[in-house]
Amino acid sequence: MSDSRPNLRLTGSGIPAAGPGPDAADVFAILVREHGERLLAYLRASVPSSAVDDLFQDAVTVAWRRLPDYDRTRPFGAWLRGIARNLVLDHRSRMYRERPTDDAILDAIERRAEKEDSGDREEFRGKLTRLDECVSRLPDEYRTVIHMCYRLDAPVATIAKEVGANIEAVKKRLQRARAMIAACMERKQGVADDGTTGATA
Amino acid sequence: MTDERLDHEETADDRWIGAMMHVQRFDTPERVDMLVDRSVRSLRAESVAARRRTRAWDWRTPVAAAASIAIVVGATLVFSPQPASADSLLRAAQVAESRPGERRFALTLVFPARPGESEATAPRATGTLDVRDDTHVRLELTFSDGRTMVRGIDGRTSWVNSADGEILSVPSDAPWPRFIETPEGDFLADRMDAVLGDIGANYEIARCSTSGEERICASIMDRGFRGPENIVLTLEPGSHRVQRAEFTFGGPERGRGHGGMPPKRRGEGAPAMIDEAASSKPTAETGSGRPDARSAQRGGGGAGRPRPERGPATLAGPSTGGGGGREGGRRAEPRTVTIERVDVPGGAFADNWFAPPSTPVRMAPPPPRGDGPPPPRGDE
Repeated sequence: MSDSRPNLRLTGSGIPAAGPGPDAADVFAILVREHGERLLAYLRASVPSSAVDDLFQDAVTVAWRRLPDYDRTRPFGAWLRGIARNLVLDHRSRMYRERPTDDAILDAIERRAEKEDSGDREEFRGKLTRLDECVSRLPDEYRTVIHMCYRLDAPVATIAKEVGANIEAVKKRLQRARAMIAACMERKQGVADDGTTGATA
Repeated sequence: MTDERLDHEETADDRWIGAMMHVQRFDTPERVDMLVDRSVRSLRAESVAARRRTRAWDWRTPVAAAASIAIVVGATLVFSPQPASADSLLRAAQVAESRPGERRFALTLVFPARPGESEATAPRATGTLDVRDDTHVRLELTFSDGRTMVRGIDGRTSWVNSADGEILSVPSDAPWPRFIETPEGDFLADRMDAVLGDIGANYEIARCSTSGEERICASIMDRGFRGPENIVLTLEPGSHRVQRAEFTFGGPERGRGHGGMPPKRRGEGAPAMIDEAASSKPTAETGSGRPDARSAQRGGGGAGRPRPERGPATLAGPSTGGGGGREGGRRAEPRTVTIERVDVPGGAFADNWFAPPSTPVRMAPPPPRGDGPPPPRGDE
């Protein structure tokens, strides 16, 4: 993030102050864009897709309303995600009484998301590119199930039928594939970090 | 991503990789920018509306501005949890209403009866509002005294009829009657999703179905919000689109200082709808109804947007200053505004439905500021 401590000119009501130059909403929009993909990743990890856009917009709205309370010594992305987390918890309490996502998982997702706070938007998009590369390097049997699940949105039962395996086997295969992707990305991240360090040195 | 995904992504790492896959697939930089822009646009509209509320609020703006104020369901969820079922319904309706499409709304405006007369004889206006998008709109209203008003815009020409049957052109950005247009120029019918967000933020909502209908009753909660006192939404089963919305403006106990409708001053002045739109003789002489009058004020008279000042935030009295009043008192206002979705004849509007019936003969000239036609009374 290029500017995690914005100088937002706000009136007491949160309405952008009048005057030349970008108003507070412009600055706010830049900041939210900077963290948009990461916030979406956090939400997509936490709630079903159908709720993601709504919660994203809700988080932005609440953040705007609370902007006067924002502690500029804190990273903006973490603050924004904190708001989103409250919305996720509220959403869960309203929508997932039957099958609530475990608190421990949500906490772990939060910790996973925190790792992204130090980077910027471009870095995160770089990770998405590396993700693609890692998927393409998966062994066929794993790449196939990943492709069907995440690119074709095929239900696990359909995948099982297609690949001639049972549902549990497909779930296991997906899990292993994701673990391989994660390991691949970590390796690539390490290489990228080394390259950066090397260049700096 | 389906809910099923969350079933087989059992660990946080699984979830994260799955989320990254979906961000990579769906959340392109363009889409992220669009989402942010949409949110910020709503926030800007809210800010503008908030500022304008401080000076230009009357009975029409609550309904209209409701369409322009940001979707603040998030704030609602955090600070003022609503009954889950009503909230879910409201959200479903928001999603449904955010979809584009040709639509027709039947409109009914009921004005207060004059003192000593029964409510049954209260002046009314009925009509239709046809919308293709925000540049293709046609409004037709018939008042209880038989007068009619037709106004349209077809993407190029904005027009209105006169009482003499002439077609007059008006500036394309001329405001519409404020009960269908927000101060920012959005149409209520186009922005029903935003209206619903506003309801979520400022109203206490509850399901009030009597026979399994999807119905939400909303009572104003934020006294600083100057919307209608009560709103009843009836949703279409399945689609969750708003089938009917009834806006009831406040009772006498809710003064303007509280942001509600002003204390009723029955019999004073003309019903505002006439003031806004009807092509009565006076407006015909001035070339148009009030909407066009406003535009003319803006264009010809230099008043421009924002529209003429009407007084301070308290809206504390008749005419609220600025010369907007008449007869020394505030204009009457409708007691209820009902918007009901009806079928579009034949499923779609004809290509030329929004176009003027004939070439406009001239521009609508401005009427005297603050002047307006008489109320829609059968005895007038």
